[in-house]
Amino acid sequence: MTSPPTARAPRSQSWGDTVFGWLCQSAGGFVLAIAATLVLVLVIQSWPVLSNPSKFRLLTSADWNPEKDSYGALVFIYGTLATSLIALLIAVPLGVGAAAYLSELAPGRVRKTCAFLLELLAAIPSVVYGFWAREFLAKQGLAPLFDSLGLPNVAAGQGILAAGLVLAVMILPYITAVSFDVCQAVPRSQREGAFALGSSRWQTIWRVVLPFARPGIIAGCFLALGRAIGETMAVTMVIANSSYLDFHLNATGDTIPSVIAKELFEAGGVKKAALVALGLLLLAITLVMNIAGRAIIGWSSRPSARPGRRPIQIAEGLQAPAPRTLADVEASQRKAQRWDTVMRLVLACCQFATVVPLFLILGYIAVRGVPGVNWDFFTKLPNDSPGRGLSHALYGSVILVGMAAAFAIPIGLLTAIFLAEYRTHRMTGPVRFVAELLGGVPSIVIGIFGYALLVYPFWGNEKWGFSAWAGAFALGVMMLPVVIRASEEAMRLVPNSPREASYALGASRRQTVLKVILPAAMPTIITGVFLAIGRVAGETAPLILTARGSQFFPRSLSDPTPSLPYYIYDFSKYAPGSAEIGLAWTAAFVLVTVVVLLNVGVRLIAGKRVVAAARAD
Amino acid sequence: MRTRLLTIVFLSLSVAIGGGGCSPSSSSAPRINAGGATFVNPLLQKWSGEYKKLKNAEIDYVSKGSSYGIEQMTAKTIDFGCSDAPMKKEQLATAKEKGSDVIHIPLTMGAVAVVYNLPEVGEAKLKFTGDVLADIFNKKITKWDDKRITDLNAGVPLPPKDIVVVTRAEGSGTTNIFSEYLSKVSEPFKKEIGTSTKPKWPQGVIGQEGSDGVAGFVKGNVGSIGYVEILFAKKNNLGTALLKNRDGEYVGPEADAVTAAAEEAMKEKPTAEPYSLHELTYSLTNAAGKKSYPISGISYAILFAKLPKDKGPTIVEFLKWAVSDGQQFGKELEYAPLPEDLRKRAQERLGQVTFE
Repeated sequence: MTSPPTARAPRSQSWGDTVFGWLCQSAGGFVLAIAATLVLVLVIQSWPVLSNPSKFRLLTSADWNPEKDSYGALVFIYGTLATSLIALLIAVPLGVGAAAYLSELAPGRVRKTCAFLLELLAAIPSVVYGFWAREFLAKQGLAPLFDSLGLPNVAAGQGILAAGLVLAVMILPYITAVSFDVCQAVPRSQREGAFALGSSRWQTIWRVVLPFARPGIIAGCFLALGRAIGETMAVTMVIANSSYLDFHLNATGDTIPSVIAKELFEAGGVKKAALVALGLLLLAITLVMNIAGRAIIGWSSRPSARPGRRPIQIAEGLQAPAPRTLADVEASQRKAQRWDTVMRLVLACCQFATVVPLFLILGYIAVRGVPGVNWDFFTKLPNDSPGRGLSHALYGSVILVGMAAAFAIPIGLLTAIFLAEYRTHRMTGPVRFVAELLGGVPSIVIGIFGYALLVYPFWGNEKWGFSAWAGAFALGVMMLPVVIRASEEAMRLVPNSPREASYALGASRRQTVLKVILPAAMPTIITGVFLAIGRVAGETAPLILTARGSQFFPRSLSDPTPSLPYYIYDFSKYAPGSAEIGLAWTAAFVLVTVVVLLNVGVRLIAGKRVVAAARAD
Repeated sequence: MRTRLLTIVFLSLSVAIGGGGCSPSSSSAPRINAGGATFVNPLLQKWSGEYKKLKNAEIDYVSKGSSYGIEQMTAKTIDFGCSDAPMKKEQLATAKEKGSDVIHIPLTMGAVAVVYNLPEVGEAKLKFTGDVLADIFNKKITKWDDKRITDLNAGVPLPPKDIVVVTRAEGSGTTNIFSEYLSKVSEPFKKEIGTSTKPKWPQGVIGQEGSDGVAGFVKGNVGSIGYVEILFAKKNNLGTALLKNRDGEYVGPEADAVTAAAEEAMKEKPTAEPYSLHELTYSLTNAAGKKSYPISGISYAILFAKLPKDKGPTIVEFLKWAVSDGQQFGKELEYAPLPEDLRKRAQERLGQVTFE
């Protein structure tokens, strides 16, 4: 009775597909909009100063004295550059050496362990680095050093050198990871060629691998420099805050992010505009670094014949060199052997020096933090007596990170689908570019963004005040690029054949994505998401400007909301032996434990090296 | 298998987070959002605890420095601010533009102690004149065994160490009180640095955030000198200096010495700005009287004269309590309680606040 189903006419597109496509597109558009708003807000807020460079001389004067209407920021620019350059000077040789060791010399197990340790080092929150640097590096390392060098004790070890050193430790894992990746990308044939010509290991590394990897390493350095320049918390805590140009070894100073973190709160009018202008400058510098780094990577990874650097010209009438005597050859071989042994050792030492800080930091935090871990810490408030704790900060952190994740994961995932599955769309290029740049935006700039947009909205008279909304928004913006990157990479790893099979069966794009691609990519995506959560859980700079902190449990999402990193920062200032600094150590220990567990756990479950996802570039 | 495991972990976490976010918090007490000076922070935290027990209202005070209190109060991101430096003319004008007139309510009085970390000195208390102190903070005296210091402290073993000078990194009312004193006693200091919540200190002077930051730094680093409200010094067992006051006596930062200074200072109405702009503000620095401690100050609550209807009454009620019954808690925290007369006038002033 029933008539056979008629072959359906080739549908145009079901509404579900249309909506899905539209969702993905608008997620991509949202990322563009966020970035545009960010720049716009900063420009509007700093316009009073930007529009009048001859009056405020932001970039031409070193006299920062807002009380007297003097806004020269050269001191902060100098501090930012000096600390970053010190960091690069130390971290680049060490990082490249460590990467060469890991890539070319290390046995498999050592390589795996070291890669894991480096990832842990990269996962430690910057406020914890700062805390450690202040209490350990400055007080017990640099202060005695300056003393023995006969330098005047200006700041008990704090200052530009201390900040540079802690930055070096922070960007080391980053440089090592990038350099390791590019070393690994050197074709096998190059190495084999070198060995076939009788090169020792060291000669191969020095003459073949590193020159081949050079563009990638340089690009990595640019990206690392971008990070170092934007770093806020760790630097703020050890820079010793003085506004003078000082070129001594024990100089104190200040950096752009640090001065923003300290003074934006209490600034109004011109001073606020000047500080936001500094934020804009910081944004510009980091963007230039990022674009330069990316351009170098793009340029170097283009397949091209590599012409020899010095083309050999055979002049006419040139005599072939006399064959070397056997003794000569043996002598040079022995020399090469000796060098080889020495340099292998040096490279291994580089690797060792790279992971030592991890143990110093974890050990020091454990020693100081473990005694304070008790039930009170998790259940009491800081003003309670007897027994003090940070329960409200734990609670606030969970809320903030949860809200940030709820904001960033759907948008990030949709954007990633847009980037990976709608490759022909003309918006994918700009969206990918902007998302990558967004990942390089310094956290303090995102803090200013949240502050200007949600705490202190500049368009209306109504001030919304510090709130969980603002904090979660700032964290979400930080998290977004990481989620996009991790998800897109995961989806790209899905082989093309299931995709093609799905389309061949007549599935629409939505069905293919939801039923085929996402399930296959899900483990990697979730891994990436967890690592992103671990990263933002330790973020401090955006929070001090948005969620601020509170003595009580937040009751609604529009209350100022306390968080663990905020309290580490706030209480780390207290005197040695006080109850507050004890809480700060315990909080640091708890935070690091959570982050490390998250990293270890995800890796154990996923069983893969996912450093790419952990890097927010 | 892995996928499922990860998904389960993820989902359960999301549920936990979601549940945490939605769970209603216990109390429905009104909450007042305040912030500013670190000078009064210990007392305000104490008040916060006591007042919660008493009236079930929560005072959420965040100490970030006096400039923060002024700026954020003006921006209305906090309900009231605290500052040890009265607002200046321009600040008042900005505030008037944004809302209404601003009133200053004195909360308590305290001494700004000069603190140092010199194990060699032991229990002995260092003595300074204003002049010498100004030159230390102006980096003209850089060694502890400088002749000008040893002359004042005969018999005290002063080491040949560098003086590490610590100030506040952010705008601070304590700094304002301190630099006001030094400007009053040293002409060169007045000319080169002057009175300010965040003056441009000479090169080689470092900054730390908050009174706790300064006290913490001094406590942790031998050879350093700084200035903090007296409680921060007592709490951390720091050495505090005796200062030569206007009448030539060496006085320590005790509550009684602050009261003595206040009595002298309040004898006449101040004529100099910014104190003359407000009703209840007085400059206590370098006051006359044999018993007066020269670096004393008053901490004020600053609030709009017109407050919003919902939170306004709670704020006023709390402040009325703070300047009356609340004063008893000041003593144990080393603050000097407000004189009776000032308490009464503060109450009256609070009565003039209107709600809209």
